[in-house]
Amino acid sequence: MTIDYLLALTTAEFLKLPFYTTWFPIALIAAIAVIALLAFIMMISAFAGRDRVRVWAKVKIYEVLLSIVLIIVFLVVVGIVFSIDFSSSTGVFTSINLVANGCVAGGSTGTSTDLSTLAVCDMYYFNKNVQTLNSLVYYLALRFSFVPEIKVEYSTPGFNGGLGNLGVETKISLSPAALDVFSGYLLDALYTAFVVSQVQLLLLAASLVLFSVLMAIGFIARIFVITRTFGGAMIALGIGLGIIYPLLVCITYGYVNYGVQSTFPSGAIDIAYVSTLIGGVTSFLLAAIAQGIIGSYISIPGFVQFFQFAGYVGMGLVLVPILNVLIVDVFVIDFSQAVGERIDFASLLTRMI
Amino acid sequence: MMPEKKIIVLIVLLLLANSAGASALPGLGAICTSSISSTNPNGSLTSSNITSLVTVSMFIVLAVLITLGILYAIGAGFGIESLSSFTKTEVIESVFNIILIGLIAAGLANVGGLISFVTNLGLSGFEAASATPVTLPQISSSYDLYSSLCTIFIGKGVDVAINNVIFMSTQLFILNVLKETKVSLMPNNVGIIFEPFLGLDPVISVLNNQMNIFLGIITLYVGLAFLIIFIYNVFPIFLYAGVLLRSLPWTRPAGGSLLAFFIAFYIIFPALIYPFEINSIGGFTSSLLVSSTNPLVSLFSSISSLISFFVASATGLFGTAMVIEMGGFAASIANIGLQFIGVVIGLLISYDLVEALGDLLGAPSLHSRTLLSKVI
Repeated sequence: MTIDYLLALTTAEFLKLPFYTTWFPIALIAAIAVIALLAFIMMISAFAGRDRVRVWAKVKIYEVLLSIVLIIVFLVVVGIVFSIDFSSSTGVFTSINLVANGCVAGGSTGTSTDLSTLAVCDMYYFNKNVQTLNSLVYYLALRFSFVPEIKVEYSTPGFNGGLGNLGVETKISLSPAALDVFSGYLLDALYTAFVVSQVQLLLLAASLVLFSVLMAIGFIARIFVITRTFGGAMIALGIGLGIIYPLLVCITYGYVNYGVQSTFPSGAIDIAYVSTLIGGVTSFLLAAIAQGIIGSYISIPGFVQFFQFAGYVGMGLVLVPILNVLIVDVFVIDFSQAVGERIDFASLLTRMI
Repeated sequence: MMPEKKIIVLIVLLLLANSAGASALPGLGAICTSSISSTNPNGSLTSSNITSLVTVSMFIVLAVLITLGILYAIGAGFGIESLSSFTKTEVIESVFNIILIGLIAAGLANVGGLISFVTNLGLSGFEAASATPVTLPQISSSYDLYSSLCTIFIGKGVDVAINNVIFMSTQLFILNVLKETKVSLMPNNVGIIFEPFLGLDPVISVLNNQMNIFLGIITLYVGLAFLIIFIYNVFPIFLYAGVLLRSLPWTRPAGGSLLAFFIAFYIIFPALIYPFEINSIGGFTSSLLVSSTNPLVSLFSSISSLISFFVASATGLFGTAMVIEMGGFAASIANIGLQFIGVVIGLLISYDLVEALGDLLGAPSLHSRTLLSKVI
């Protein structure tokens, strides 16, 4: 999956898409229709002397008016949020070192400077980092599996009728035999964690569509009396997935990617690096055999970087997703309670799984 | 063996190759110096960035206040009680936001002061409780604390544990070679094959067991080091993003969550674990025949140690060596246990604090009891 494909629905296109813009008039027409109906009820109840119904209709008219205000405010806020420059060379996050080189707008990949594009880009590059780590581990394990086991044997020559075939033999294992088995488990762990990252990437790629659809449903549903609470829940979910989640991804994965980039300033985390690393290991093993001293010091180029790289990626695979999901979930729960019906998508997801 | 251990096994093998014979791992401590900057918390937040964020937040709060004023006027004018009460509540929240923004505008240095105060409070407690008088290094800023913790985790935790693993690897290498050694006495292809060191299995088993435990220790400290690095660099951004998000009524729960995490994990968590770590870390004295002061020795030295070991076992002193080994190993693991308890206590208190702060800051669903169960 290429980043071009993921970024096909950029914010610029998204703001022009019919399904994003057409629901505003629909919501306004619905609001006017509901207000007209409520006004009619209010009028009838006044004639019929039913004060309670009249008061109810009055309150509902206010609520619908409030919904219209909410839509207008929402339009303004969305316009502002999507117009903020997050990822150009002078962007908000670029200036605080939260944007890796590949995601700086105007570069090879980033075309827009908005939150959603940056979030997708961050996640995409993080996943590439996971794949790189996977490659490193794979090639290292493969290389270790080729380290030979040496059998040393000596025996005296045999003579017919004489004393012979007296000898000593031993086996020398330069790398632990269990490493081949371990590497399988290791790759399994990375593959499993990578699935979680890939799900996050797809969720982010779909976040604009989800945002648009959920907000449309939410605002329209919120205008009608019966579906008001449901509409509130949809709005909360829409903002959670469309704004809060990408924001957190930009901060957390932005930091992780920038950290990886700092570890490898040239960005050359590739097979050449693996070869260098493996070359170092091989040199060590050969030196160990030649000198017979395990304790000899042979430097492996880039080992500390490998360690640091693995640390950053591990953090992005374990800690960061938990933190992000927690905060988005708390937002959705509390905001949905405030504007409508309580919705707890993390618990729902857990129960489903 | 668990998958996590296997990852570590691979890393350790690399470390083994890289650092055997060296007095310390080459440059591993560079992770702390390169990831934790003394200039400011994330190495990039400048005063102009902070001023911009604070200014934007203040503008948002003022805009919200003006809107609330209009809504209150409408509510009062048309007699909508719910609207009036809503605006009153929101006004209080906005005032609270202004106070928060004011605190942040006062500078993050104050947070550093708060952190050092909390940490030194804990240290003074340790000093007072110690059987022998001790004076621990004082913390004067957040950089001091985080840098110190990271250095302890990497320099004294990971490094020392890896050194033990390296030496145990060397020993296992030698023991396995000896175990596989066969002496054949087969004149005319008839006779016996003698395996004199096959009885080394129990010793190899003990070493393997110890190595697994040390690998677990390395996992723990690598995780803690990167947790500290992540908190130090990312959570200050949570502070500013939290204030910004809290300014808008719509995003208040998210802002409240971010602020709660910042206060509980940036200020309190490291201060809580610091006394545990500084008091007990670096006490690894284990591994068969390993000197606690210089665990790294050459193969030849190790062989001489092994000869001593066999002499000891042959002369009936084997039991003494094992008793010494068990004592050293138990002491090491006890140290780790104490540190682990410190981390668990720190996490529990911080989570509880997150819950309390969430209630205060507009994110009442931030319950510590259910947080992790939702996502794990």
